[in-house]
Amino acid sequence: MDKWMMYSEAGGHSFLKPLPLMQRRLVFCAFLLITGVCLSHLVKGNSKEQDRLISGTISDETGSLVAGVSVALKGAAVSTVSGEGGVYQLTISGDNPILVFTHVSYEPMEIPVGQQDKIDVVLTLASTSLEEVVLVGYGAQKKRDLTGSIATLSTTQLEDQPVGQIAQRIQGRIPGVQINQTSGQPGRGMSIRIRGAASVNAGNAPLYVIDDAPIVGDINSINPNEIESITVLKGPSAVSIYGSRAANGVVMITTKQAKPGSTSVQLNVNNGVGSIPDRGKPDLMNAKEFLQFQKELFEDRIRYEGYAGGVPELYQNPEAWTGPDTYWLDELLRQSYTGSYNLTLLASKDKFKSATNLGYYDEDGAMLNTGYERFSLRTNNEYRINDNIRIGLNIAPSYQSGQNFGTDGSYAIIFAALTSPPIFSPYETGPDGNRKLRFEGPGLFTQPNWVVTLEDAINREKRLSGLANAFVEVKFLQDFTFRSAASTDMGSQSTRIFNPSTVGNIWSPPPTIPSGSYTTWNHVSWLTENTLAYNKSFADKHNVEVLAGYSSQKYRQEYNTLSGSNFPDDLVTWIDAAAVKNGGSNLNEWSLLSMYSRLNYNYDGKYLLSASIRRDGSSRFGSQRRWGSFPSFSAGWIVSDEAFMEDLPAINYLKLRAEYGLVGNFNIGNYNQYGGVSTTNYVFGGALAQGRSLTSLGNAYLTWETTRGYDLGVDIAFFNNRLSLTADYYQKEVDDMLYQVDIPRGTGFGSIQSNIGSFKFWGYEFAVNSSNLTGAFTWNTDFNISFNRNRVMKLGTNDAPIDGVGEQGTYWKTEVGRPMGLFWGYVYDGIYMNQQELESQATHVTSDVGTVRYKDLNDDGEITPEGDRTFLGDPNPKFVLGLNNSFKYKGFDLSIAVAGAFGQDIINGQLEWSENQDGVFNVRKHLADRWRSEEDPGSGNNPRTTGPGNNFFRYASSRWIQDGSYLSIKNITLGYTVPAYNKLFSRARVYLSCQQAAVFTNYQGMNPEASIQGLNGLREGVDQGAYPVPRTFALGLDFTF
Amino acid sequence: MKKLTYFLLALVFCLGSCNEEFLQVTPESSITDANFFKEESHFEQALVGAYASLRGVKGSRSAHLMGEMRSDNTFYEYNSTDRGVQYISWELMDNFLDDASGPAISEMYNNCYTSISRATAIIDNIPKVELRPEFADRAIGEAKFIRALCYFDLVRFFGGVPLYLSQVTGANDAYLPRSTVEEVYQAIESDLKDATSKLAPPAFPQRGRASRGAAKMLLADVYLTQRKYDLAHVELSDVVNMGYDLLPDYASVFDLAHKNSIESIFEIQYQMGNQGQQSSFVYWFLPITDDASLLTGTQGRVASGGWNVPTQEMIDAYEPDDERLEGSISIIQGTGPVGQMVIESIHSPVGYTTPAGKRSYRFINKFLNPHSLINNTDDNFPVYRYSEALLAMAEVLNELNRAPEALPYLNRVRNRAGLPDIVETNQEGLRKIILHERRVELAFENKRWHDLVRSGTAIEVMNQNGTYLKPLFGHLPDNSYKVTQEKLVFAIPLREILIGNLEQNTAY
Repeated sequence: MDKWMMYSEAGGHSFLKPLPLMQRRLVFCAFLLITGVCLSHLVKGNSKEQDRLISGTISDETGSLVAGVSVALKGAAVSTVSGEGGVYQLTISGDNPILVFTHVSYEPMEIPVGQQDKIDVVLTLASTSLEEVVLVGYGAQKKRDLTGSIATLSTTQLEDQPVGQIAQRIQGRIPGVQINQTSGQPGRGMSIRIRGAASVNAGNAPLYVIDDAPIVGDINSINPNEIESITVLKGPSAVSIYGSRAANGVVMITTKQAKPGSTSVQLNVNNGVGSIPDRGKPDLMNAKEFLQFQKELFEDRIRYEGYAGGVPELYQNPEAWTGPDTYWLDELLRQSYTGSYNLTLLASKDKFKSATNLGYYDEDGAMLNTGYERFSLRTNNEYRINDNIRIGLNIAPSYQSGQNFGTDGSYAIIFAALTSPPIFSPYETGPDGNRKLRFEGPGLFTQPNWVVTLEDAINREKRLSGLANAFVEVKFLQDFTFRSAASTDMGSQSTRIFNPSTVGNIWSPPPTIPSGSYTTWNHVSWLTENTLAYNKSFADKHNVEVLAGYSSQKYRQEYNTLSGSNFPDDLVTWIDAAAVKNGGSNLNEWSLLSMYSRLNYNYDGKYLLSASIRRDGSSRFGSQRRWGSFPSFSAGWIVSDEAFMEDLPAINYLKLRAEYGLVGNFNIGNYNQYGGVSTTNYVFGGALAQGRSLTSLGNAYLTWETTRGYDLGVDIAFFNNRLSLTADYYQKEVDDMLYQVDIPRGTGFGSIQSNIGSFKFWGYEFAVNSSNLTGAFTWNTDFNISFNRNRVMKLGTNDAPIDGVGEQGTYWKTEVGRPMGLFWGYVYDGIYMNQQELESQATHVTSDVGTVRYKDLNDDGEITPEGDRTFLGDPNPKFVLGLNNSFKYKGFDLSIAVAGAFGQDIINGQLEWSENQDGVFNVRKHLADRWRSEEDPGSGNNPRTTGPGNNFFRYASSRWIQDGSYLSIKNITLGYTVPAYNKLFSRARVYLSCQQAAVFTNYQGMNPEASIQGLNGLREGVDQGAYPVPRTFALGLDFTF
Repeated sequence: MKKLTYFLLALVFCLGSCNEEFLQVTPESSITDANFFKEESHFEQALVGAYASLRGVKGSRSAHLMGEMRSDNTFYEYNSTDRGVQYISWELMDNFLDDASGPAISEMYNNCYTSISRATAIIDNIPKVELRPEFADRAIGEAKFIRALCYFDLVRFFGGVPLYLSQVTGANDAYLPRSTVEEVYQAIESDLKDATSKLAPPAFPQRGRASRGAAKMLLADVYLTQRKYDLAHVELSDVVNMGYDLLPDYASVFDLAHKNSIESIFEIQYQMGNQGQQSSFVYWFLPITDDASLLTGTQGRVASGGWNVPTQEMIDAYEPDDERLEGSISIIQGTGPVGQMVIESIHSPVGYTTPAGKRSYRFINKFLNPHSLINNTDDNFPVYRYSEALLAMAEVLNELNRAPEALPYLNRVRNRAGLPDIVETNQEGLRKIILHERRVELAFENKRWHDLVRSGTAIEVMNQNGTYLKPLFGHLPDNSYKVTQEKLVFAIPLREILIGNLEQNTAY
């Protein structure tokens, strides 16, 4: 409780600030509960009726009328079947009549009749059915008619997971989609890569489309509980309707809609507590070991460097130490907490359909004073004015607030936790009775008190987002549909940082001069889409769909930043109080015009053809080459519908698919076609002179990056559809890569934005869905596995490689003819054990007896950065997989989700500091066994602490490469559905859920998914100490009223 | 229904009318190359920008490292508690163990070329725009001075470098091989000849722009370095008649009141305050300490210090009674280990010995002046002072076998420092005296390394320096200070070798 209080006070920006955190949660929960109960009574109501005639029409979600639906009065022997045109009539009587609609291809549906005498029904396809409708971008198709490589996932069954981000829930669920949790920072840290996508400068994030509207940011502001399903477009023809933005794949998100004819109120509450598992925590020296290490280090300094100061008193008698013995990492961690509260109102009556979700998510991170909370509201409404006109309006505001620090990476807080000497305690007090702000010791780096740093610093991010879209859809002349939609994506974000005098870093330990900054962004993106669709069947067997559309989008972002330094004290934390203030402000805009068209044709539902073309014009490209065209073709053959397949009754369904297409990537900065002119002021005669200089080179010929590829796939189902398999092979080549080509500095510039370079990608994906057991005990298994490969075909003007030049912090090199982003460095070869070895073997200028030895790869007798570095490993997994099992027995359900990646290497970059031999940090236990003299050379695997060779040991070498393969049990959930026993609710389920249950890996660090640069393809797989991921246990309740 | 249809039709029409203009999005909050270099004010702004980039070339961290710390004048404070890779690379440079991957050579190389490209952009664009001829002359003159100044540093630090003499607009003209040393000097001389004809003589008080005096001084230095003494004499004869003079007191030359004084030929301009125009190089010379306010008057930790520390041998090199010693160096006395020095008192280096229980630090004080914010000083950095013109004149005359004529120039500089006249007229003897005079007069102005190299004494002096330092500093490895002819140029940065496919200097 104390720690939570501290977070609340230090953060100080919660919505319901006057209330302590626990009370706040309780109040919110109670509010949701009461609202839910009230609403459920409002929408239901009771009635008593005489015999009466009920009629209506039955259609499916695509608007087609459905015949052959059984319509029955619940609890009575009255029933009928819908006829041609989906029309039905039924005479009923009795109290509270309920109609039950059933059909083999559709989900059954019950509708209370109430006062109505005309009930139109829209049925939903059964989820396992091939008749299921799948979004394809600007429309929907039945699953069986798809010709592109598209994966769909219903996310409602993933809601049990006690996590705040949708990407966490879908890890391992979708073939071809690699998702890593690279950091455990609350509300952050997820990285997504579809089919190995990578680009040098144009980014590899997919395009996110929410309810048909492409958004400009990521999907983090969306409450995952608002989401009904996710569709991932992967194949070249599947994505090409999104043209210039589709090269990295398209993730389409459908938010929850009311089910036709039903009304319900759902309440979901989920509370979890977590902690960081011990596996992978570094084995650092304890206090006595550290003191001994220091003692020996000074002895060596006296011996080898002529140090005259003697061994400092502190280190002279390690065994007698009775002071603190601190494992710093644990001091910075605490129990984490997650809470998720969702209220969903679904109503569909007559011509009106509405779904509203109100959500609150709250997370206290596992690291002190970090956290995240999100309020979200979404309301999706649809009106049918008449049979031909539909109007929809979706509005989704959200508010996020988080407190996070620079925890990950070089010289950040995880680094500090590894290197702070164990002989200090964060709770030591100084002469003034306050906690010490810094720790000094003979020969040690002065370290801030990291607990105080975490608790006192302010780094508060707030984000207000608003997504809204509206559409009108008009059907006319029977076969035509016109749809006009407008959407906006708005957001404003602020980051306020204040570092009081008690906060510092390892370069400037406290007390420091307080400083702060306040940065805001706001963006508005608007988008209009107008589409015309034509849908017709001729002569029973020719089915044609034609779509044409036009869209325009404009994005505008304003950025303001203020920074303040030299605050007089810590009392006022806003920039107003700073003695020195600086500010800046700028604007970024882009626009996009697009025309697109698609033709789908199938003959007899067996032979499927699709062709599409999109033409995009973007403001981001050079005036000379602004427009690009992106055509695609695909075809499918449903073999199982052929007569000759009747001999193979085990195969229910077999479809072969092929697709080919072109897509683009426009993710570069906004004004790269122009050379940049920046302010470069100077002083003449004591007065400021305004200066301007060309600071970047422009390129008027800049254009899209084009990806050309094909995909071959097969979908097959056996044994009454109980076992289904999807397999795909794809190949794609990225040309005209948008690429900041390094050029000689003699030009005055470091690089020029160009369309040069080419990457090739290929791979296999398999997905298996199996109903292992049906009946009272059901068991379903979903398994998917993906093999992604790539090769660099061409790079800049001289095929100059990317990276691999510098030394410290240089982990990667991307070179023509190899996979991208390979690890690059020296080959570790032990140490020079004695003078004889030093003299007879190749050396670096800083080599000495007892220093690190790397292999002389070019055999020239010297170790140099030019000649003796090589490719050390590959961070790209050989394959990634997901395995999900679910079981049901009576009221019990159990699901286990597993995700894994295999065959990749990872660099344990934390070793750079935690094996540092300077003697200024705490180090790993094994360094006790290091070289001290020829007579006492230690294990032969740990270099000496003295001499000039220390920095050479800090460069990437094969010593840091480890096997990064892992298999992770992401979630286990055990649920029990309580039988409905009174009228308060219609369904109640209680469950226990464990997130990040177990990680199986040989990797020695805490998180095998860590990657300081995310899954970006070129610079992947280096763990520089990431915020660890907690294992969370949660209890959840779902009520439906 | 009808209304709705009309509305929809109108909507479609409206959106359909969007055209190419919709895609024409130019930056609103900055300007681009498309609308730059169109009028006189743009060229003036570009000139200002070219001067601004000289801050990365002259008086920058890499300039202190390569021009001063590499020489026998200064060393560094060995900090065993902070073995940052960057710091180690600076130490290695001082110790002649550097390679092609250190950051200092890249900073120098890149900053020189940044200035060169800014100057070249001005030179290439002037003919395309109609400008007042007097403005165009001045602009070309200043731009060519800047370009020559940078190529002169490049050729001395790195040897023959690629000669970029016209504006690069794309990747096609970005790749040039290394030119020879002679070709680089030819280009420098050609630029400076043009600059000396186009620039006006210095006008006092000066404001910090390059004048004909600056261009001639630079050209004389270029000739002197190439041992073209006749040509150097011609230029210096002009420089000594342009109205420059020595200030009466050496220490006051570096006072804030004497920025751009009559002694200044060219200096890099700074101004303290909030406009980002401040200097801070003196903080690099201070010891690392939590509180240097006794010296600086400002509160806060000095984390960047410990570099460019004069050796005791440097202090000993001053003649007795040379006023320049106290005007250049002071002793900081205190306690605490390296990295955590507690400053207690400031002392003159004259006759100083460190008391028992105390620690001392030799500090370059000539650039320390009053300021109110930490890391925010007002000090300019000198590039050429009139005393250098006088010493260069003395050197040229001595090399032309006119030693007696050389003495008055030399003695003017010595007399100002409170030292007696030199009467030596033996060429070899006077050569040594002038070199030594330059060492103390121009101390810490990043001249020493170039002086050692061009005088042919670098190998001998620096090997001696190693012999002097190694017993004092136990951390110095045996292979340090092994100075050979090949080590007289630095490595071409590794990035340029790999990306530009350049040939590396033989020692690296």
